[in-house]
Amino acid sequence: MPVIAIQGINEGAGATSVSAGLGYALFQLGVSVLLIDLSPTNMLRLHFNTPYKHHDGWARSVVDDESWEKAALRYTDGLDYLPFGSINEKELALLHNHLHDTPKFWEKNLAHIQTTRRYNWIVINTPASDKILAGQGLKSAANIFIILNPQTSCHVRLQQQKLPDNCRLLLNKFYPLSELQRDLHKLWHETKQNFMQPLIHYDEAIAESFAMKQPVGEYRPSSLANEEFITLANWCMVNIRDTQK
Amino acid sequence: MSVLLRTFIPTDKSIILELYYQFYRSKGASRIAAFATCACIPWFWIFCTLESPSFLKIREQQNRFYPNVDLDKPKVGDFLRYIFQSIWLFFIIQNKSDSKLGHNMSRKIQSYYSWIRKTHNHFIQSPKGKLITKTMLRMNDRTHNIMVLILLVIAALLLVLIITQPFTPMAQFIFMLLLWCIAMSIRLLPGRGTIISLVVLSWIVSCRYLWWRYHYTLIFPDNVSMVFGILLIIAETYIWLVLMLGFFQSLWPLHRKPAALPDDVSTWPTVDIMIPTYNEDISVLAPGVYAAMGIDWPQEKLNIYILDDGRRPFIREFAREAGVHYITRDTNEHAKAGNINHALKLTQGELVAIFDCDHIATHAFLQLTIGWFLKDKKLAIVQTPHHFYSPDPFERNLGSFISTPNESALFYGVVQDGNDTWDASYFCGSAGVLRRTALESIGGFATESVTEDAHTSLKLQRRGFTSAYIRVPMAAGLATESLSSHIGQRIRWARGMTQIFRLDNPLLGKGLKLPQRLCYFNAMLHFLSGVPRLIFLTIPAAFLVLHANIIYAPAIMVILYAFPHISHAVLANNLIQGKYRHFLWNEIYETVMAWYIAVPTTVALIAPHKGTFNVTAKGGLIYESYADWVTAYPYIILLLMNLCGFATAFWRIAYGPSNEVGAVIITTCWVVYNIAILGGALGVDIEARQIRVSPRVAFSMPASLIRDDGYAFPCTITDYSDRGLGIQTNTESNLNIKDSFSLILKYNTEEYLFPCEVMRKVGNDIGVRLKELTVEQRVQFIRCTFARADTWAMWQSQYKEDKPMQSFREVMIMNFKSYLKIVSYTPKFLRFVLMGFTYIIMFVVSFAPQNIATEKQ
Repeated sequence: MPVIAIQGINEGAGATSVSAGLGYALFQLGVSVLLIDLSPTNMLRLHFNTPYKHHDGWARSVVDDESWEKAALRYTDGLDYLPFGSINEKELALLHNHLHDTPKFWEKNLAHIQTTRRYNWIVINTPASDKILAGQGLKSAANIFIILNPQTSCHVRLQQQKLPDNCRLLLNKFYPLSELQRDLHKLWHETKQNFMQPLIHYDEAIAESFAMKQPVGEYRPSSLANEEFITLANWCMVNIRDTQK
Repeated sequence: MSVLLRTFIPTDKSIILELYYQFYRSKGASRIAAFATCACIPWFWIFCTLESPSFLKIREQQNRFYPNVDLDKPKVGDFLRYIFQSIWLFFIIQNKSDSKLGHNMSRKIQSYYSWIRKTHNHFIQSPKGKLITKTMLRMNDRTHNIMVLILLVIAALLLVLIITQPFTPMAQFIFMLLLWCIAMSIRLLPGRGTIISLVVLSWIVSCRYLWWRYHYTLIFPDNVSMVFGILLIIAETYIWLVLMLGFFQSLWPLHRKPAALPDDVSTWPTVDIMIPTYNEDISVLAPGVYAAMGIDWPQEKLNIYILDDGRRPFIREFAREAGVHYITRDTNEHAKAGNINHALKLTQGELVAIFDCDHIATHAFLQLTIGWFLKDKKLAIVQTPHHFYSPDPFERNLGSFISTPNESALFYGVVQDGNDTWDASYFCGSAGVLRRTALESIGGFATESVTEDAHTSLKLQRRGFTSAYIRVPMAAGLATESLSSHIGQRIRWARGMTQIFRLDNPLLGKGLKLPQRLCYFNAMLHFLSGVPRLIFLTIPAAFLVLHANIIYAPAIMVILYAFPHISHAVLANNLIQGKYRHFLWNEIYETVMAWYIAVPTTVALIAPHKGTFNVTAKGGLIYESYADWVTAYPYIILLLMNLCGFATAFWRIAYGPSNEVGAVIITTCWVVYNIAILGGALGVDIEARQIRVSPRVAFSMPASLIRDDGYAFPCTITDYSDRGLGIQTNTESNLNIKDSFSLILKYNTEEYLFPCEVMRKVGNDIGVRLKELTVEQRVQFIRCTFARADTWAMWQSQYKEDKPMQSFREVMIMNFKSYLKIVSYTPKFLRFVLMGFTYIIMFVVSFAPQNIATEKQ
C-alpha cells in the first residue's frame, strides 16, 4: 500500500488540487484510494462535493476525543476521503499539543489502515506551512511530492528551504507561453535530479471543477488536466513500489 | 411493353414483370437489357424451383459467386455471364478447393526449402564443416592469398569453358534448368554467400548469352537488318555492362554507423552551413534556414550562410531578421558551384555542410555526421540520404506515393551504401558535409560540368581523400513539382555526368583504385541509358514492320538464351535490392526519361563543353489535372510505332512464311510489353492536381492545446507542413472555424506554444494555420516537427519486400489504367473513337469469369 504525501512548496501551489486530481485518477485506473487531508484549511473535502457546513473531520474528532476513523467519507466505491474538519485556532493549538505528545500519531494510524487491507493507495494532502502537521504527514509517507509553480519565488524557495529527503518535485500550473516559465522548467529539468517528468499544465478545467465541487476527472474528463493526472497516476503505478511491506 | 406482355402471360404476373422492368430502368439499365431480363424471368418461373433450398443458398450468395453480374442493373449478355461464371465455378474453383493441389504443392515447396536450410546448417556444424572453418581462420595471409589465387585461376578457366561452350538446344535447356534449380534452391538461405552465389549464376548466364549473341547471331542478310542488328547488340552490351557493374557496386552494402563525437566539446570542429539559392521563393527557403538554426551544435562553432545568387534584397532582409549570414555576388558564373566557391573564400569553418534551400535538416544532423571527420583525417565527404516528403511527379501521377519505392530509394538505399564499401560514395549536392582543406586542395568545387557534386567528389578521391555515406535520413526536401521540371533535373544530371565521363573519365587518370573507377564509371554509365532504351522500344517494331532479320537464330534458341539471362538477373537483383526497387517500376521511370536524356547525353558525349546549369523548380502548384502532351509526344510516336508492329504481327502470322512464326510471336510479346510500359509512361504525363502550397507530412504525435479561455485539452497531430497542421481533437474541445487557440508541442522535455487558427473542420479533425510567429518560434516549430530526429526514421521501412510477379501484375494493371485515363484527355474526335474501343474491350472482358472472394468466417 504505497503512501504519497503531497506538499506545496508554498501555500497556494495547488497541493490540494493535485491530491484530489491524483486520487481520482488512481481511482479511474481501478485501484481503491484513500485521501487524507492534513491541512487545517480543510479544502480537500470541497473537491468531493461535501457541503461547506459539514464540520466533521479527523482533527475535529481528535479535539472532541472521538474516534477519527468515523470522520471518513465515501465519495464512490473505491474512493474514500478523510477531511480535516473545521476547528478554531484554540482547538488547533490543542491539536498541536496532542500531536506533539504523540509524534507517531499518523504513522500508527496508517499502520492501522494498512491492516484493514482496504486501500491500494493512500494520498495525503500535507500543509505547506504547518510544521507539526506537515511533519507527521511527511514522516508517515514513503513518497513525497513537492508541488512547484513555475515562478521565480519557487526557484528561490528551492534554494532556501530544506526539503524533505527523497522528495520528488512536481510542476503544477505550467503555462508554456511564458518564456520565463519555459526557462524555469528547462532549468529545473536539467539541474534537479528529482524533478518529475510528468507535470500539470495550467488548465481552467481545474479551477472550474473545484468551483463545481467535483474532481476534474469527473467534471471535465476530456480535459488536458485529467489526462495529465492519469499520466501521473500511471507514472506512480510504474515507479512507486510498495515500500512499506 | 405491357401490350406485348399481356398477350402472352396472365395479368397479375405481367404487372410484376412491368414493375421489374421499371425497377431496372430506374437503376440505370438500358432498355434492351431490362427487356431481355424481364423476358427471361418467366422462363425461370416455369423451369426452375426458385424456392428450393439449393437455389436460395445460391441467391443468398449471389454477389459472392457472381461478382460480374449486378442483379439490380442487368446488362446485355448477363445470361452468358452466368453460364461462363457457373462453368468456371464448377470446374476451376471446385477442383481447387477439393483436391487441395495448390496447398499440397506449396507445402512441398516449403518443406524442400526447410530441408535445404537444415542440410546447410548440418554441414556447417558437422566435424568436416568445422574443420574447414578452423583451417580457413588459422591460415596466414600469404597462404590465404595464394589459395584464393589458385582457386581464381581454376574458376576463371572453368568460367571460360562454361561461357563459350556451344550447346545443342537440348543441352542448353538442361544446363539452364540446372542453374535455375540451383538458384531457386539456395535463394532463401541466409547470408551474403547466397547473394554472391546468385550473382555469380546470373553472371554466368548473362555472359553466356552475350557470348552466344556475339559469336553466332550477328549474321545479317541485308543492310536494314545490319543497322538494327548492330543497334540492338550495342544496347544489349550496354545493359550487360550496367548489370555486371551494378552487381559489383551493390553486392555488399556497408551500413556505416555514425561515429561518436568526443566528450570534450572544445575539440569539435567549426562548421559552416551553406544554403545556396538562386530564384526559390522565400517560403521554400525559410523552413530550411530555420531548421539549420535549430541544429544542435555549439553556437560559437556554427555559422549559417544563405548564398543568394539572385541578389534579392528581401532575402537579405530575411537573413537579417533570422540572424544568419547573407552572401551574394555580382556575377552568376558556374552557378551553384561558383556560388559556393565564392562563399568559401569569405568563410573559415573547418567543415562545410551544404543544403539545398528546400532541404530541412533534423537537429541531430551534425552530431551524427561529424564524428567520422574526427576519426578519419583523410575523410573529405560525408553524405546522407535525400528524403522527399512530397511525391515526385511519378508517384503523384501514378498514385504510388509511400507504397512503392521511388527512383531515389534504390540509389540512397542500396547503391550509395554499396559504393561506400569501395570508398566510392559521392557527394550529392545537398545534405552532405565536406572538409574545407580538402576542397581547397582541389581549388574548390569543380566547375567543368553541370553536376558539380559528383565531379568534386571524383576530384577529391583522385587526391586520395576518402568518402563516407551514412544511411540515416537526416534531411528532407521537396520533390520536383511537375514532370517537365523533373525531366529538366534529370537532363542536367545526365548531361553533367556525361561531361565528367568525357572530361575527367574515372577509368583513366591518376589516383583512383580499381573499385572506385568501376563505381564512378557505372554511375556515369547509368545516365547513358537513354539511347539503348530507345533502341529496345523500337527494335521489335522494326523487326515486324521492316522485316529486318535482327537476330540470326531460331526462335527456340533465343528463348533458351535470353529468358534465363533475364530471369537470373531479376532474381539476383531482387535479392540485392529487395524492397528498394520494385520490379518493373523503374522501367517506367527510365522509359519516360529515355527520350529526353538521349539527346543531351549524346551531345555532351560529342561536345562536353556545351550546356548550362538549369535550376530545378520546386514548391509549385498544379491547380487542374492536365495532360502534358508536349512532354508526352515522343512516347506517342513510340507507341504508334509499336502499335504498327503489333498490327503487322497478325498479318505476318497469317500470311508470312511459317518458319518465321516463332520469331514473330516472341517479338509480338516484346511489342506488347513495350506498349504496356509506354502506357505507364503516358500515365505519368497526366499531371494530377497539387493544390496545397506546402506539402504535408503525415506524422502522428501527441500534443495539447489551450483554448483562449484557458481550457486545455489533449490532442493528436496527424500531419504538418511549415505553416499549418492537421489535428485530431476530442469533441469537448469544441473548436470551430476561425477560433484561435494555442498549441503545445513537445520536443524532448522542452515545450513550446504556438498560436493557431482553425481553418477547416471535419468532425473532430481540424486543419489549423499557424498565426504570425516570431523568428524564434519558427525555429522552435521546425524543431518540434520537421527537424525531430525521429521524423524520417520510418524512411523506407514502409516499403514491402518486392515480389516480382506481384509487381509485374500491379504495373501491368497500372499501365492499362493509364491508357484508360489518357483517353479522356485526347481531342474530341479521337476520344470518341478510343472510348468506343474501350467500351468494346470492357464489354468483352466483362464476360470473363471472375475469382470469388473467400467465404467469410
